[in-house]
Amino acid sequence: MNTQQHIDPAIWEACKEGDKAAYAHIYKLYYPRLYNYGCKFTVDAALIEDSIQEIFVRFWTNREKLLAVRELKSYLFVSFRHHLLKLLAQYRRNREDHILADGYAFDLEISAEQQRVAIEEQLEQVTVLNNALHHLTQRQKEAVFFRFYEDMSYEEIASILNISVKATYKLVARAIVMLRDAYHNAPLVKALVTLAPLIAALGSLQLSVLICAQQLPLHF
Amino acid sequence: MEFPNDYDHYDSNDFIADDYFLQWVKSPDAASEAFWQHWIATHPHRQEQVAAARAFIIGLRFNETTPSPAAVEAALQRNLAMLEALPQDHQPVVKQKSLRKVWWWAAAAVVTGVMALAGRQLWLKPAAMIQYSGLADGIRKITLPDNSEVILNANAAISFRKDWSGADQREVWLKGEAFFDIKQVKAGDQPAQAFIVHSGNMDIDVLGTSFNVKEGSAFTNVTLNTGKIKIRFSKLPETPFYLAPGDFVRYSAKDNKITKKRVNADLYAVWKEEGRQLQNVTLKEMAVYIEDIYGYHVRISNSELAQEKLSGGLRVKDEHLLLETLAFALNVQIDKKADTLFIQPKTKK
Repeated sequence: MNTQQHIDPAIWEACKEGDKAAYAHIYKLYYPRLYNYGCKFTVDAALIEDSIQEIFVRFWTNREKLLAVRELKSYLFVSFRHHLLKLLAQYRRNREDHILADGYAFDLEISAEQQRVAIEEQLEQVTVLNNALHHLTQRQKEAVFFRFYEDMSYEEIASILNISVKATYKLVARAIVMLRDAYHNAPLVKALVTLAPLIAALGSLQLSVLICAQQLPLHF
Repeated sequence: MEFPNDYDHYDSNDFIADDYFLQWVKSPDAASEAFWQHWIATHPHRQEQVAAARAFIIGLRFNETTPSPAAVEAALQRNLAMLEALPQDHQPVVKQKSLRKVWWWAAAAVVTGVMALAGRQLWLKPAAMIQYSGLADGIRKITLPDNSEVILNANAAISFRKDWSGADQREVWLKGEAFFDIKQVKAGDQPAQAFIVHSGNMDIDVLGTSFNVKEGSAFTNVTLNTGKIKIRFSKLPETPFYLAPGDFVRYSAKDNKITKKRVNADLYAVWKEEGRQLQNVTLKEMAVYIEDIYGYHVRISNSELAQEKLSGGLRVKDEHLLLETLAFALNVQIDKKADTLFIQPKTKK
């Protein structure tokens, strides 16, 4: 998860002035994130790296033309997405792969490992959620990824997916409904815990809420 | 962030979709923490919705593929090398005007430096440019569009335009070390087409024949074997340096300083032929070479010893091997103390 990752405007200004150290700072911050994002489209690591290198070279040569720091993130993602999808399209054409509905596949999954899930029921939950994820369109999955993994605003997501902000709200909202329906309808999940302790915890420290929410299988 | 919204009618899906709610769940700060704790306390009937929304967001942990810090660093270094090799970065603004004033006859020049970054990859360039990268270990021969030859040392990179016909000068951009064997191109009565090597901090004008360039971010060293070259420093455009055979110039980018001295220039080009035969190199010349290349201070115990000569095949790639060869050939003892090498006659036992 990326929560603390924001570029200091001063670093962005220095980068614009030609400061390679500032550039390196931005590069190191975004390389892993673009890489992780790229892995959802393809398993070809070389292709992902090539795309990142290429768009960063372009970023460097065009840096003076770029505007505010808040646009930096969506700029990097949108140029990377564009470049990678272009390369992938070329590869697919060459290999005569089947044409995908959205022109690409976005392989987003809930990771049991990331959750450190040990309990059987919770594993079931992950499976149910993943099934639901697979029913989302590629765009919905991408929007969910940007929204809940990259913590992007609707405006940023809209600019990357090249759709209106309103359409982005709808896209995300529909995805949330679909995923939460899967939660509700998961037949194997038993309600092990009442909400009472959670509600009590919410009134106290935020930290305890977090622990509670992570540890207790919640079913609604 | 617009807040507070009118959250009174929000259900858990609305909370999940809300910016401020999401920020609180994922990266709470004092303000959001205070706001939401207060909101929950004052809306007890909504607590269930809030808890459900929180649980949903926290439960969304996606599969991650994150490269290691070392992999990120390596990618960064490759990327910086790509930026360094961008032609625009190396073209000083004043270059075009000053260039044609003087023609220089040039022969073999050796330019050495310390290479900090190395690009191994071929990358996309503007259509007209070609780039070659040296091997990770060992030398690589390249033929330029005018049939001149370049030997790239390990990790060096050179780029140049694909088509040199019609251009009034031949230009290459270099990272790292290379030896050039430049053909003199004459068209009728026209003077030969100028040849320019652009490196990090300087441009080198040559006309014909061969020279060696190794540039680096900290230092760029230039050593001329035979002929004549002119160096123009990008930071000091008004003070070009003219080199005669055996001249050595070091440019330090850090303090913008130029040092000039006399050396055995053959030594500085010796890397391109492993085990190359050298004639009558004095220990003093070797010592200067070792200082320049390996960064040691070298102390020779007496001036007689400093004038001792050695001839023969020399391997300079491996510092340890080089010192061992020297010690054996001249029957001297070499002691390393911090960054200083002490060379003295071998004590008899």
